[in-house]
Amino acid sequence: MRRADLSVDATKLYKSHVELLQAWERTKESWKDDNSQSFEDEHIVTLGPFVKLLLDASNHLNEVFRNAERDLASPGDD
Amino acid sequence: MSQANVQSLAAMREFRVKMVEFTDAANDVLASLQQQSYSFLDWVEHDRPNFWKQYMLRSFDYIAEARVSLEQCLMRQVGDHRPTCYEEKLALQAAKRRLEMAQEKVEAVTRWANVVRHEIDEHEARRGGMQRFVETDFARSIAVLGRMINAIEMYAELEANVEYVASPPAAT
Repeated sequence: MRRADLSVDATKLYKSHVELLQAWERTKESWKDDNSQSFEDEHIVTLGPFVKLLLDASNHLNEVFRNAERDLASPGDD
Repeated sequence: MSQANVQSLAAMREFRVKMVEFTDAANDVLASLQQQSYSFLDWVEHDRPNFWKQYMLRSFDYIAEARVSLEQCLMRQVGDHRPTCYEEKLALQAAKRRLEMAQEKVEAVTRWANVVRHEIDEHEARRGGMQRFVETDFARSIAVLGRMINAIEMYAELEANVEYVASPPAAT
């Protein structure tokens, strides 16, 4: 078992974001006006880059942790 | 306000709930990422140096013990027969290899501690950015949607009252 596995949290964040976007698509089907479009532009689209940056950073850090753990593990550890 | 907005009220309410659920999930993830990062850093900066230093010290002991065993074996000469002490020599070589590895690991721990701390600092910048966004901008987005829902609800209520007042009284 790994000492730190950030992939679980990264997956959870990714799925939550996808679910939010899917929910927004459903919402747009019955909310079609200028307010809806501006809400999407100002409040939904702006979230995406923050999620992507954090997911990329977490995947990278997870790889660093994996390599460090493998190199520094006690002899006999898996 | 358009009729379409009033009809979308339920969908808007439902989406607002989804936004709150996303906030909760994001906050859980952000807290867990930070906790795991600092827990790992503690392992690299404290647990591993202690472990590998102790391992190195025990390796010196193993070398000393292996040397004593080899010397004792070499002294067991019977007549012209000199023992090969093959196993004892192997044990000494193994003990030396163990020490070399321990010394490499002690150096590796220092290297990794620097790398891991730097990478966590980089990650914290991203994690903090997301945290601030969720706490301020996204919270504001939820509030904006809430105000829009309230406005539509008030408008719908007002329109219903106007229709009620405008209706002629029923003939008795």
